[in-house]
Amino acid sequence: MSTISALSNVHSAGQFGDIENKNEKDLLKITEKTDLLVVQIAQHKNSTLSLDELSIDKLKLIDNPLSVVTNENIRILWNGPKNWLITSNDNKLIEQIIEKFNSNDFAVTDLSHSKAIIEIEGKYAKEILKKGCPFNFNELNKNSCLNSTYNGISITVDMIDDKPDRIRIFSLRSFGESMYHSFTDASLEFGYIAK
Amino acid sequence: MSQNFRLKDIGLVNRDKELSFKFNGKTYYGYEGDTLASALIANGVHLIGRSFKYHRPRGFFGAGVDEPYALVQLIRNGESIPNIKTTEQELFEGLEATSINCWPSVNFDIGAINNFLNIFLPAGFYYKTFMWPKSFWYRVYEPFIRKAAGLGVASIEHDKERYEHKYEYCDLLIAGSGPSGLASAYAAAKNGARVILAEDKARHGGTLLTSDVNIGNQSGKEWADGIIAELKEMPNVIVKNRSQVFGYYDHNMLVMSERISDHLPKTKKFHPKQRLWYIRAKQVLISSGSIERPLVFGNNDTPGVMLSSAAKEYLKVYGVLVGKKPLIFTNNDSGYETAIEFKKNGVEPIILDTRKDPQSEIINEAKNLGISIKNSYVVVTANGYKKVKSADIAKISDDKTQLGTIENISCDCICVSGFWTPTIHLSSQSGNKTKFNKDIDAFIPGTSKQNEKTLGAANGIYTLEETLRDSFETGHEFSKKITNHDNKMALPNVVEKKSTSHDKFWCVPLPEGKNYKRFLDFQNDVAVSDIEIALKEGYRSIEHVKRYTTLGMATDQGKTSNLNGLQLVSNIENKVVPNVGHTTFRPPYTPVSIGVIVGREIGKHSRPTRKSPMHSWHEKNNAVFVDAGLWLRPRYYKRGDETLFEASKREAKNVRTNVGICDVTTLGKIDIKGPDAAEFLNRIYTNAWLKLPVGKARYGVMLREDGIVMDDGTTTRISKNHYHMTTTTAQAANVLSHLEYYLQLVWPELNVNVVSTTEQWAGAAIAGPRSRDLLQKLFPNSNVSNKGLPFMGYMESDLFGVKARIFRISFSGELAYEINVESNNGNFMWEKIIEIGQEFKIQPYGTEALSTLRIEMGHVAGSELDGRTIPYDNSLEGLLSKKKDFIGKRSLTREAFIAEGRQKVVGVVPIDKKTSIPEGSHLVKDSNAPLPNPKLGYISASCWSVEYDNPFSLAILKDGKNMIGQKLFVMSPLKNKVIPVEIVSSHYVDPKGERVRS
Repeated sequence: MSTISALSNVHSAGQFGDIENKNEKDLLKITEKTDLLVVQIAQHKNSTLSLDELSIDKLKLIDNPLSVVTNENIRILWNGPKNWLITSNDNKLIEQIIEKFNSNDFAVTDLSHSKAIIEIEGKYAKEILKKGCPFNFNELNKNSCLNSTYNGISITVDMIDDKPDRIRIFSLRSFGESMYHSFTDASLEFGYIAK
Repeated sequence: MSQNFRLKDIGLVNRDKELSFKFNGKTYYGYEGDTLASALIANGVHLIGRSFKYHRPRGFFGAGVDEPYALVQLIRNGESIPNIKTTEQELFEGLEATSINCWPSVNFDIGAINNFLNIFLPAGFYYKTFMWPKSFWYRVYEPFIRKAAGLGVASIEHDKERYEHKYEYCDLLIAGSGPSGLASAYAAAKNGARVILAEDKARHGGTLLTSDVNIGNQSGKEWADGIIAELKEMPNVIVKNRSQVFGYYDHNMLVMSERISDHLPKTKKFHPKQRLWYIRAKQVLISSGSIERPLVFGNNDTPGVMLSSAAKEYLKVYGVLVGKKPLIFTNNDSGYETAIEFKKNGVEPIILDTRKDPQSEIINEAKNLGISIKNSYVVVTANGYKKVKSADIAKISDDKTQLGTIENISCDCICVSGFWTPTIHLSSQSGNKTKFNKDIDAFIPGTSKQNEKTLGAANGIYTLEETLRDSFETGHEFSKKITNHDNKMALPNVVEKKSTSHDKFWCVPLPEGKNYKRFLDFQNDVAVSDIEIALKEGYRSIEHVKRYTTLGMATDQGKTSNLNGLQLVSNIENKVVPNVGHTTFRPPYTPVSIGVIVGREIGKHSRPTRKSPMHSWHEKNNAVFVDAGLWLRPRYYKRGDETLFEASKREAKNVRTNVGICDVTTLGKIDIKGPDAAEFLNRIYTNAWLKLPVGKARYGVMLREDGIVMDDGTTTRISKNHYHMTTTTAQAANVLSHLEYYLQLVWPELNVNVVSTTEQWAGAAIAGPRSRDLLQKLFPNSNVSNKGLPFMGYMESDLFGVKARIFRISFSGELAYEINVESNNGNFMWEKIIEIGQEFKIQPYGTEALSTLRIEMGHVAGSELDGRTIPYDNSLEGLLSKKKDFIGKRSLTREAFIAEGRQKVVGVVPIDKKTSIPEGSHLVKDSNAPLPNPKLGYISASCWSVEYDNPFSLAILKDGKNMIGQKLFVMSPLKNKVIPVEIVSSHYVDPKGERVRS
């Protein structure tokens, strides 16, 4: 059995755009993030269960707009009121989640295959986002996230690091190739390395 | 000609870098830092093009954005760009430009005959002529007018440049980097605010570059350079030149066009030529300055007549003389400043001042320099055709109505100054109601509607000290509110010359017996006489006068003409200017390229596309794709020279006889979860859902509140609290919104969450009499018999190690299944089915075959569920529960929906069993009835029935229920077809539905 990631047809390694006379470390780095577990947890409206009683690998679900709660393996992105997106490299985590979050109080949905995911790293990462997304990226700090659009494509943005900026972008899988083109095209001006 | 009008040792151009360029095929030279206008003037070239209507010779009038007519066709890097302002286009090596609106040449233009026929071409002539003979309109008049219209020629070549967009946020956006812009930006930035400072020109500083002032013991330019250098180093400041803020919209959103590469011979690879900025600012400071107002006199459009401030700018910034025998015609002190600069550079100007005996520091300086000044004098007319050669001047009476003896005076340019008009375009666009300031005879911003303030000359403040004080204060105050910092900058010491008040005179009366053209709008050839005609013909509103005469229209937007036009109307109407009002200022303030508005969303990227995980397989196997919303779906798989018709027929036939596979990933999939999910579905769908067991699917129809069918599909109960809904491809997003709306707003008591899983699952439908045999081979360990997996059954299984969901549902009407696997495994699933399916003669089929299969089965789809039909119309009334409530139920009892003879879906077969029926055709009883022939219904979908090998259609027909067996006619006026048809059941194939249950 062979699996094909969302961007396997378009993402290929190499250096692209305005790279002449530039130090490699100054170029943007673009990678496709594959095999990432993505699970949506939504608490039902009338659920009275306290979120304090629940955690995933000791991380609490925080109902705080734009926030990301994180440890080495897991990032919990606020996705809306009482709604979170859990991302992890540990694909078996979903079993733990399903076990902890009962279906009378929560809707747990595996969306791992629903997404095309890229990461952009470098000092111009926010400049790339500013080319197509109307959010105010000047105020996007490390460990915060948002849902918005990029050139007409719905995206989720997760600010993973700020030294240098490392930003993970999720789009719906079917839009993946358009999303990838949009971001890489915007990166040509600065030059980028596709990893 | 080698820059005979270039002065030595003055100006800001880089004399170390000479650039060659071509104008009308002739090579000239200029310097880096020149504009095309300054370089041409340096070479003594003043004839640039021909005017819009009369084809009169055109030269230069301004030195920047105020230029109304020095436009050219620019050739840059092999691309031809029309209507480029020579005053804004920076010179680069190899630049080529040609004159516009002239033929065969700018020197000898056939179109100039219009100038001699001008008596026949007054304002609005085109509304009154070309009326007869009627037949001439399309063949003669319209082609002629189209050819004559416009100035430059738009290229029809593909624009290869990159244009990009950018979204930016800031505390303060400051439009304009003259004294007020620099001062406010500096004060705000030093106080910690995030500032964007935007300047249209290449150089920052505005009037500081040309004014003889001293700020903090530095010249204006030195002070400006110091401020800009400091701002550029600050991390909280974005300083942009070549960037025009051209539009002001709601919520303090402004748009700015940045010309990144226009000044270069070629855009750097991978870099944009221009960038459109969408800027949201907490506060906007408009420091757009003001534009010098022309004085109106005879033939005031002759090349060599220009704004006095422009002449000064050419001299001080570019080191270029606009003439060597200048005549300065002014009603205020600004003209004196220009004259003084001429004098300082060895040129003897003559000043004609409309004022009787003005006194000021500037005037005294001019007198002390020995400049010839004639008070109470006016220019009656400019003489010369392609360049000013002399001027007729005269003394004017104190009441400005009587001219004295006409004298002729030799000159090679006439620099005019009729005082200043604040540039209020952005302020007005923001919603600010302007007010008239009698002191300056112009409109200035009134009360702000958004967070904006206008500073300096744009607000009618013309002294530097007051401008700087107000701007420093404003920058500090506004930034303090945003940052809570209180770091206040001290106002530097300012030394400037004092001036006196201007004369309100603006238009020279015509001498007796003379009928000179006195132009108001130089871009659109609108003269005083045109406005007089418009008013004589009854136009009163300034908006109507504008449209009748074209005053202030087009790319110029009345920058130099509006105020004089208003003055004229107010004089004739015996009103004051504020009672005449002004026309609406609309964005863009200056022309903006279509490319930068469009950005990168061009060609195949004009909109995003959606692809299934099996897309590359489809591509490799000759799929021809069709747009289904944003999705690309295989329409058919081409073999050899097959046509669409042949291929789709082959594919559909194979489904009916063997087995076919279709990519159904695009169908909407929605996970519905929660303890109240069944109740939710019961309210959404028209049929009952409370008792659907786990492992079973059910077909459902959902309505809008008005009773119209919204969508249909199957929903499967995966587990106790988990349902999997499918929707049509087209309605997936709408259905999800529909569900969210009811959950969030109407039924908050229901504990249900919905989420789209369309992308999570790759779907393949296998359909045909041999599909079960295939399925058994794919899932050898599962019982997929009719008993093990009955119609509308569901099971989970394992496809060679891949988790799979199997639904026994059918859109084709055949025995069929839909297999879902997680999307990363989609291609694996597809290839495995194709591989194993070879034994059963499997073929992939596209949407065209799918359509054929569903039409001849009478399964309604988007063309029947088209937002106009109710369940009855689609023979879905059996799905309407009488026991429970559902969305849209009450609306179904409306009179029209229960009326006798209500429309209903039927089948249509041509009598000859050969003629294909065009979709959208009308059904009529009598094909020869007089028009309008009463329409009984319409063809919603057509196909070639592979079951019976003849055309078959579905139609929505009035009283369709009772029309079965009737003979009617299909009429398609568009295709000029009349086809006799018979009305049959919509279920043309397998009317009992035995195959899907087999």
